[in-house]
Amino acid sequence: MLIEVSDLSVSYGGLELVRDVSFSLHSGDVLAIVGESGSGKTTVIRAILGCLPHEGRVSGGKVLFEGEDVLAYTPAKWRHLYGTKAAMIFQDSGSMLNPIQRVESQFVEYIREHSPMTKQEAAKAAEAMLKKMHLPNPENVMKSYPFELSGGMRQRVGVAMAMFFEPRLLLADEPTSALDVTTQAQVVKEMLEICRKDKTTIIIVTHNIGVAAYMSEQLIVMREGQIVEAGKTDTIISQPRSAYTKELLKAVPQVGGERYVS
Amino acid sequence: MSAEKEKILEIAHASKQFPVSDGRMLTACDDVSLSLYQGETLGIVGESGCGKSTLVKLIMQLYPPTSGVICYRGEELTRLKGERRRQSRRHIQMVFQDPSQAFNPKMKIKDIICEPLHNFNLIKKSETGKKAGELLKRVELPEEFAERYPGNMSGGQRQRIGIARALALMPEILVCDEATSALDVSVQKKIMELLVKIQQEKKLSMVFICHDLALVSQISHRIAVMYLGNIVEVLEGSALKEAKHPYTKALLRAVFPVRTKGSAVIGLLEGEVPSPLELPKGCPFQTRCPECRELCRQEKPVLKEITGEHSAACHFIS
Repeated sequence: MLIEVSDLSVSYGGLELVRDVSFSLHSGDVLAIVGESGSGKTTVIRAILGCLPHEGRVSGGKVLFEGEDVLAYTPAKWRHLYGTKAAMIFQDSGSMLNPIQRVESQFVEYIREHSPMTKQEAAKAAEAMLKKMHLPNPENVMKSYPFELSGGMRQRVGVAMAMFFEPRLLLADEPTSALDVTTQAQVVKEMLEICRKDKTTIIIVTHNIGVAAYMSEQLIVMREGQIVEAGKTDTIISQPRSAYTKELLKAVPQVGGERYVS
Repeated sequence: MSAEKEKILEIAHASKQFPVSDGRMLTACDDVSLSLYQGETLGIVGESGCGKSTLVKLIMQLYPPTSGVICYRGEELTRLKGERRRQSRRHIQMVFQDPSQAFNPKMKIKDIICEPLHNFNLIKKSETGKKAGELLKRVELPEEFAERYPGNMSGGQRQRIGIARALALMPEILVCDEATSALDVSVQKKIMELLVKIQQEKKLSMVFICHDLALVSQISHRIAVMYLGNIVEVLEGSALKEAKHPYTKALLRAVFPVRTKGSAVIGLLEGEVPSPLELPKGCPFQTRCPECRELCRQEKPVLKEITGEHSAACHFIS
């Protein structure tokens, strides 16, 4: 078991917003958490990553990563774990990157924070990683400022940084929501390709049920801070049991689906 | 749409270029021709940067086209001046993408939705409350909302306010620029149902801009697909799957359907959209097209009719 979350509850300023979330994942599993805004899906992965906003705190439950209780970790231990063994991809990598630093210096800084490489070695390795993400002209990307890159390219830089140390666990918060369909398809495929090779476990939070269906084997549907339905993705997609899931699936627009006009 | 339908808006060879700092020109819309018929929904899809929003702003007369004309009921909007131009704006109204930024946070809802009416002196100050109630009812919100501020409403409710404001002047054309993109799917569904209901009641014509292919196909009678400032294909909403243009086909292949694994095949479109600063000679799609040949690099294909309602701009479709 790589990660085990049991009865996780999170409260903000005394108000319990996420209640009793449990799941466990083996190495290489892909879990998708879907739900509408305010359902608490992002809060769950933020709690796992230990980066809840100020007022937020875990009010109950356990998070075991490789058998260790990470909630009891000191900040130094968190830093050691995250960045190498576990990594996160954000919705908009553009706002994760420093706007006044070139990609190269940020990427190198990140690598050297966690490994004893020299600057030259790190730069070389970073460029190779960008190439692996199928970024065109990785040399140019390294020399660019984040704003000079398109949204899709920035997102791929974000994925490349997160995947650099071949983490055991990848947390992705709406990684493709800000992208166009064609770019979304590219990023999703590249993410899966790299993760399959390294047997990385993924937890992806998304409101795009199509992406969730494509990427994950396990699915959690959340609403108002609680799990409404959980199980195998294919089973839930083809035979949803809860009324809410049925409603949600029905509301997703589909090409060739029901039309509003004739 | 057949010929007996009344043509309400016509865009003919409209182009829009913006000067950039180093003296070059950015072409956002390149020779776009489109018509909108009464009671029809025209969907416009394309990736970000393809010129959809520029096209909307041309329709809304937020800026003039570099060349080409836009006619509303035979009247050239682009040549109107002063008061006549102001009056012409009554007929075309818009719903914006982000309902949290479309309103003055310090105005009450009743003042927001009645502002267009006051602008054109259609109601007296004292009638504001009553009129606001009517408009709220039309978008299926309780009348008490009139006294609220936009800040204490949910995204879906705010988007309804956006629609109410756009409908206040009883326009003939409603332009929705990504009107539901910021909303959850279940809320989106309710807004779509509302728009369709209002359209049928008022015989409203709609221009619906969206990047979600599936959604556009559900609400549109006709769909125009844009790429790099050009319309590359126009087809009926129900016939999206029969798209012929390589770009439309690539877009369709990139959509993740809600289906079990294995039954969905996702195709990739390699590369990125080229910069609108240096439009390639020939077909705009040549750099990413899997079927690109020599002719495509030399000559730009024009939009031509395949069957009655279906046209595409590609050398190899006939």
